[in-house]
Amino acid sequence: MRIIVLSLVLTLSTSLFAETFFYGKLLGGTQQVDRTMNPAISMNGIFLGNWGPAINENKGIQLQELEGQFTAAVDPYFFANFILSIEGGEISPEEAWVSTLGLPVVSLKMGKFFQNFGKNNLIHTHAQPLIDRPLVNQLIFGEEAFNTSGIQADILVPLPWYLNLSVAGVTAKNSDVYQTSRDEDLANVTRLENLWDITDSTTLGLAGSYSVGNNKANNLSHYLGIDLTLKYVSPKGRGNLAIVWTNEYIKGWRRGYMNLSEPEWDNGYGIYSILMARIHPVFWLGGRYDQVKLTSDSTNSQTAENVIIAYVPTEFSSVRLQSGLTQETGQETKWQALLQLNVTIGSHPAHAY
Amino acid sequence: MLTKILILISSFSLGTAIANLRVVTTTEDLRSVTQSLGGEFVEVSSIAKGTQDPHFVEAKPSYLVAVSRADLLISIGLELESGWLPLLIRGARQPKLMPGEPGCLSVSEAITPIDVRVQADRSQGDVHPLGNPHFMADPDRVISVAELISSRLSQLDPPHAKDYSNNLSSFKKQQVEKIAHWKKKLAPYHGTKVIGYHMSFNYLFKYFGFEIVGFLERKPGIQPTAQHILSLIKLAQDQKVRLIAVENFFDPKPGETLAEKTKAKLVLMPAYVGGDEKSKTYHEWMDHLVDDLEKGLK
Repeated sequence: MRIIVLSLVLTLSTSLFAETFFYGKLLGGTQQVDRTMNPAISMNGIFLGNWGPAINENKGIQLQELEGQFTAAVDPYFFANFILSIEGGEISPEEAWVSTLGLPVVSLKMGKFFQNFGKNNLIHTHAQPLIDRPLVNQLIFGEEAFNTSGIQADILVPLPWYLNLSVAGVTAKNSDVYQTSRDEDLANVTRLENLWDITDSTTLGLAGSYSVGNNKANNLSHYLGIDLTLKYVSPKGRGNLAIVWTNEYIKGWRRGYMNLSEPEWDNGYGIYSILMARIHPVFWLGGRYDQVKLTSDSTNSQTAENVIIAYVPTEFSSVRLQSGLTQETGQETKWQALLQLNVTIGSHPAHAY
Repeated sequence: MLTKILILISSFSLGTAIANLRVVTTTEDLRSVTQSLGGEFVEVSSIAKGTQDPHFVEAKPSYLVAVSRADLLISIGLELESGWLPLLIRGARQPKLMPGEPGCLSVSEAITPIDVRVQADRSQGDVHPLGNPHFMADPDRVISVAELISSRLSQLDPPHAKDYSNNLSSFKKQQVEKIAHWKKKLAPYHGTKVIGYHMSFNYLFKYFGFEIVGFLERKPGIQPTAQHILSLIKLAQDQKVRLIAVENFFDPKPGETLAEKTKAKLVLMPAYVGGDEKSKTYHEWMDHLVDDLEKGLK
C-alpha cells in the first residue's frame, strides 16, 4: 500500500512539475527547445458518406481515411516527411521520403512518394478539390494514384518565370501504374512545370509530364500528361473571391496488354476540367467534368459531371457536399451523392500553391 | 541572336538594378524600413502586399523565384508567415537562406512580444502562442527591429557597414522626432476605450494608452457572428467605447453595424505599409494611423 501511495505521489508530482516547467519555460527555456526539436505532427481525419448506384463499394457512412504526418528538418542537410495512412483497418506508409536542404538550385528526394506527374496526382485525399479523384486519375493510375519508391531531382531553372524540371527514377514493381512484379523493372517520371504571374492576383500554370517503364506484359508502358491551371485570388484581405480553373489531359499506352491471358486496356486517355470559386469567406462552389476512353478489344467510354459546395470555416476543417452523374458505354446513367467531413489537428504543413 | 537571348535572360535572372544586396521581405512595413536602412545598396521587394492579410498569403511559385535570388530574407516571425514561408524557403533551394543562416532573419528576435498565450489550442481561433506578431505598429519596437536589420546588412555587406550605420542613425533620429509628434497628437485621448477587428493594432493602442475592450472577430481569425455583434453592442454601450478600428482589408459591415447601434465612430485603417495610397512608406503609414485615430476621436 505504501509503495502504491508513494508511486502515485511521485507520478503526480512529476507530471505537475513537467507541466509547470513546460509552460513556465515556453518562451525560451530548455523545454521549449525540446519541443521545437520534435517533428511537426498532425492527424487528418476524413469521414465520408456516399450513396447512389455510381458508388461501387463501401456505400454509407464510414471513416474514409486517417492520415498521420510527421515532418521536420533532420539536420542542416536533410528534410524528412513521413505520412502514415489508416484506411480500411490497414496502416500503410502513404509517403516516406527525405529531401536535401543543403544544395543550391537542385533538391534531391528519395523514398516513397506520389509521383510528380500531372496536377492531381500529387494531391492527398483531404486536399482534393472535389471529394473523389477525377475519373482519369482513378481509371488510368488506379485507386492508390501513381505512388511508388524512387529518387527524384528537382531543378529550379534560372529564368524570369517559375520553371521547375523534375526527373525521377522509380521502381515499377508493385505500382498500380506499371503492375510489374520484377525487382529490376524501373520507370522514369519527368515533369516540366511553368507558372507565370499574369497580374498580381492571377497566375497561369502550364506543365507537361511523361513517364515510361517496363510493365507486367514485359513490354513498355508510356504515359503523357498536360495540365493547365488559371488561378485568381483577390489580393485584398482574406477570404475574398478566388477562382481556380484546372484542366488536365492524360494519355496512356500499355504495350502488350492485349496479349495477356486476360486482356486489359492498352490504349486510353482522359481529361477533366474543374472550376472552383470561393464565393464567400467560408463557402466554395465548384464542379468537374470528366471524360475517359479506354480501349481493349472495344472502346469503353465514361463521362461524368459533378458539382460541389464546401463550407470551410478555417483551414483546419471543412464540410463538403458533392453530387454527380456518370455515363458509361452501354449502361444507364448513374448518380452519386457524397458528404464529407474533413478535419486536421496538430501542426499540418502548408499545401503547395 | 543566341547571345542576345542569353543576355536578356541573365538580366532578368540577376535583376535589372545594380545593388549589393538583394533583400526579400515578407511584409511591406519590413520592406520600407529595410529600404530606409539599406538605401542605394539594397534592392528590396516584399512578398505580401500592403492590402493583403499576411496570415493568408498564397505561396506563389513566383515568390519562390524571388526568394531564390535573394541574399537576405527578412520575416516578422512569431508564426505570422508559418502558413506559407516554409514552402518558399525550401522551394527556393538556397542553403544561405535556411533558418539559422545569416541570410534568414526573423525580426521578432529583436522584440519582446505581447499577447503571449501560455496555453493555446485551436478552439481559441487562429492564435499565436509565442506572441502577437503585429509589432511593427509599435514605434519603440521598430527601433529595435531597425537595429537588428542594420546589423545584418552590415554583416552581409561589410564594405558598406558605415553607410548602413549612418542610415540607421538617421532612421532613429527621425523616429524619435515622429514619436514625440505622435504622442503629442494622441495625448488627449489617453485611456480611450476602443474595439478592434483583429489584433493588428494591439501594440499601437497599448503604446498610445488606449484600452482595447473587445474585437469584432469572435476569436482570432474567426468571422464575426450576429450574436457576437449583439454582445459587442452591449459592451460598447456599457464601456462607453468611442472608436471602432477596422483593418481596411476586412469587410467593414460588422463595424458599420456596431457603429450605427452605439456612439462609437468607425475608422478603417491600413494594417500595413502600402495598405492605401497615403501609406507608401513606414513613416507615412504611421502618420496615417495616428491621423485616423485623432480624426475619429475629435
